[in-house]
Amino acid sequence: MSMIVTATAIAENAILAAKNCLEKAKLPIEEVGLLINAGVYREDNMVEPAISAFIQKELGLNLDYVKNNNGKAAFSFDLLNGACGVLNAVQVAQASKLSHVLIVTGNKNPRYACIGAAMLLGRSQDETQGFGHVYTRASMGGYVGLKGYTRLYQPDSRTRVTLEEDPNYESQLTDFTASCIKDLRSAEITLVAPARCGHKLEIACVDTAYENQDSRVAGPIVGYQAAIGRPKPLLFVAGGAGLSAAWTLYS
Amino acid sequence: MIQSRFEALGSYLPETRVSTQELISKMKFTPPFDLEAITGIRERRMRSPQEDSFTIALNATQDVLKRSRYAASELDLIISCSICRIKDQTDNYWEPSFALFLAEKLGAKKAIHFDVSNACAGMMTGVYIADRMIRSGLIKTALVFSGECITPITETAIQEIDNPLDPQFASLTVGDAGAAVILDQAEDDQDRIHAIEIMTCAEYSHLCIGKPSDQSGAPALYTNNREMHKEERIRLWPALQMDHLKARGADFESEHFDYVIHHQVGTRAIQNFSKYAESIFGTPMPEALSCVENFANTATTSHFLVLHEHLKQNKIPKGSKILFVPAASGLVTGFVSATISNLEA
Repeated sequence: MSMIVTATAIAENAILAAKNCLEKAKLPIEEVGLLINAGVYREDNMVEPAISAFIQKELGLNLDYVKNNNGKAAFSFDLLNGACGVLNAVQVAQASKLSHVLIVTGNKNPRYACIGAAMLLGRSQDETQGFGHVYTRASMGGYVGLKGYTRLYQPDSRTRVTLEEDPNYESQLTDFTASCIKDLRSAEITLVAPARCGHKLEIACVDTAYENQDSRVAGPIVGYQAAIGRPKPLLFVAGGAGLSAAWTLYS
Repeated sequence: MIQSRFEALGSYLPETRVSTQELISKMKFTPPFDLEAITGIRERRMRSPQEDSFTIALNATQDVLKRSRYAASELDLIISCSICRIKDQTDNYWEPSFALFLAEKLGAKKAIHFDVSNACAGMMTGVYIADRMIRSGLIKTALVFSGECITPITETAIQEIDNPLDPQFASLTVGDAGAAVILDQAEDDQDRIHAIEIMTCAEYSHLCIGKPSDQSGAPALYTNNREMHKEERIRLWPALQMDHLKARGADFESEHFDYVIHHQVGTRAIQNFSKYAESIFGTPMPEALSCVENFANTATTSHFLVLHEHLKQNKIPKGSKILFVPAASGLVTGFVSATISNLEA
């Protein structure tokens, strides 16, 4: 069975976005079997536990298997792959065979839109609907373009993130992501990607920016909302440090 | 129906051995209890000044590739699972993914790559994902690895612990280690992952937090040990596994496990895991394999380090059925059951 988008939401943070998304979907919370947080930059530069566990707790999602006593369990973890994380999470959701998977993102790095985004995925009997195969590619040329890290042992290690961005990163990334999907462009598809990717390919594009800010990891979710009502299939494209790209069609 | 198996296993241990006594002797505040007696941990391995998550991961992944029938270029998926992602000794990476750094270094050009972060359940989470993706037919091969460079939290604890109830005591019980496992499609019952079910009981997400110290910016872990390992938490895994067994008309005894590998928290904790499970399943637990005395709690790599050490000593006969039980902050627990015949160490 294919994986379809049941609801999406954008909010100030990941928890609010997740709550709004579940409300829109009118799905009893305990039916969510898997929660994947694809957000990269987080509060206090925390490495343990997964931020997904805090989101799960705030949602009240199957918090204690024994006390719940309803036979429902939920699994959650963080999946990190820069701007490609949401599409990687879609891959995991597709493989999971679970009925309902919630993908969330949050961002605490002011360089990018500080928003939370959530996308609830469900199953459809109709194989012609939903996400298709997710493709990924890494440039593997030794050019990383962007590095984001926390330098430890500094007085501000808990709050600071260093971003090392090559001056040519954006143009290199645009060339790379555009080269990944150039054979897929057609009059029938709606491209959902950073606007510069559409410019490069000279096709119309639903921009994944949020209020003119780079929405980064939240891109596919922001783009999905912006593309509501546009002709399908949607061609989602995400690209980030590495260089690394992921793309998929949504029908 | 496609199923997965553990195809190859690799590990890496830094050379430097540090005893618990040596750690305690360096502390400004002397603990009012015998840490070695409580945990059973005699010593652990600690990284050299040149080592970090990246170098430890590279050693472990190169080790697994030596034993695998697959070349790096044949891998479909690479997942990095360590808690810290420290490269160049001091930089904890957020992007690009550590999996990509390793994929590039190893030459895994076509692999899907991403990191997972799920505290000490990281590698089990990676194995869960790899298993599901192999079963669904999306991929055929996966490398799941962790370069666990965790002893920086020990050094922080030595410097910062200043009272008998300090939340950094658990940081004295960890050790560095790398582990890597390759999964592919099962060919027969002698090598097969039978079941993987993992859950997060997020009511307890606040009990163990890892982040830079507010005093020094060094990696630090703050744990409420007493709450974390209460009996009612330990009972979560058997409850989940029993329900899954019941659903297919089975029980623990009929599973015929030869060994159980618990998360390596300490000797007493491991005994407690089995003790409580016995009372719930109503049947004796299989022999618990452990190497916590010599290597301490190596976080994400603990189960696979135990497996590796026992295979190396020829203590696991071919065809053994093993139960792996994760236990991690989040709170994450569950079970992985697998029969193992062709793994070598």
